[in-house]
Amino acid sequence: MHISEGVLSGPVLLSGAALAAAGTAIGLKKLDYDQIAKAGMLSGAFFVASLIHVPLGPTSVHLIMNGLVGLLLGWAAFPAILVALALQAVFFQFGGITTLGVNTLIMALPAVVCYYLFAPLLHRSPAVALTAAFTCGFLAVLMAGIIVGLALMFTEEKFFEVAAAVVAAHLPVMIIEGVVTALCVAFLKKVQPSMLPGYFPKEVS
Amino acid sequence: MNVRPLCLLCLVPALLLLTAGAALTHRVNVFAWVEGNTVFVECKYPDGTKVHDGVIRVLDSVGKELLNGKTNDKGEFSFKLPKQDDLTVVLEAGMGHRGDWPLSKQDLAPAGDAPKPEPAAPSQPAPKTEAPSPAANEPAPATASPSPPGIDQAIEKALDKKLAPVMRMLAEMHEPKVRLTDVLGGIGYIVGLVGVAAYFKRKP
Repeated sequence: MHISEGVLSGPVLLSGAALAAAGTAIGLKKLDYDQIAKAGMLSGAFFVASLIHVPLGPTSVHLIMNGLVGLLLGWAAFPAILVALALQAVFFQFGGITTLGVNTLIMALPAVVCYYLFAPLLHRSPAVALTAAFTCGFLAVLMAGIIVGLALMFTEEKFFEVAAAVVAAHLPVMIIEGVVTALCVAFLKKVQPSMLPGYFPKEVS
Repeated sequence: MNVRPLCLLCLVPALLLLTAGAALTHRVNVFAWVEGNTVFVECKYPDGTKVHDGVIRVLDSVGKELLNGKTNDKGEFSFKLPKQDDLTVVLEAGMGHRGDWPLSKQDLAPAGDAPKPEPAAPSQPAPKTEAPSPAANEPAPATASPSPPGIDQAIEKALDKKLAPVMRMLAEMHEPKVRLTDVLGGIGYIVGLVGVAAYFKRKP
């Protein structure tokens, strides 16, 4: 779901970069000392997750993990994802430097939205928490696909077609992401509940 | 903070790493080469999957679209040389995937001008194509021209044929691959940045 260089028009790139910068600023401001290690780990996981890919129809898709990153980090997902995407662009030529802002927005905005939607549910009963985690992983990818469609709409392709194609291509990934997110949450609930948001009262904002 | 779960979490990227060798993503590779008057294009995802139904556009040096088409099931596309110019073959595989391959005039020139278009060429080459040399070195064009055009053509053809696999191999080597060192380097960067963040956010 990385958008390559040379696809988007200037205004889209600029507004994407501006929004991503704003998100990153908020994220860095909200990132407190206790969260730094967590942010680093999730940034690393996000960095590597995109190497796992599923060949599918005319294209190939890969794990994204932005739902999990958002769920655990909240706004700090912006800097974490920005760093991971920058490294992917430099090392693997995924996406690119000029599209970094747009790509960050594509991944991180759904992450933050998911945080607000699902983080409060994580400390309910296990069934509720797992459902929330699954939906979180699923929805984060879905929203990312919609933002890809929006970004491409302003260039040349038609929004509905692209968004539908992206979402359809990522349907299996959404399901996998949902399952992976649910497994991670279940694991953390048992082993390290302090990693989940809402455990420290001050983290809920 | 309990250390064990942290170690387990670190295992996640480590496990993901194991599968990283074969699993590359989300960039498209375009490779184009010339045989005679035809340009062949091959499009792959970095893992080797062919790009079918990818849109190919051929642009000239000023960015004007000369022709377009779609790749077949094997990710291949071919077209007749539209004109002698620096061409760029652009692949758009949809959803923001894009790749290109430049074809410079020199790549195209021998195949293009040897066969037909310039019967007048043999008498002209000294002033035109070898501008820097003629004053110093008259005999060079003289030795180049006498060979009958048929032989040149045959040699070009044979070379094209023989070199095609080599060109393909070169292109494959040229494709940037995801390397373990890159992955580890990236993770190293992240660890370093965590350190930087921890330094600036430390409690006084």
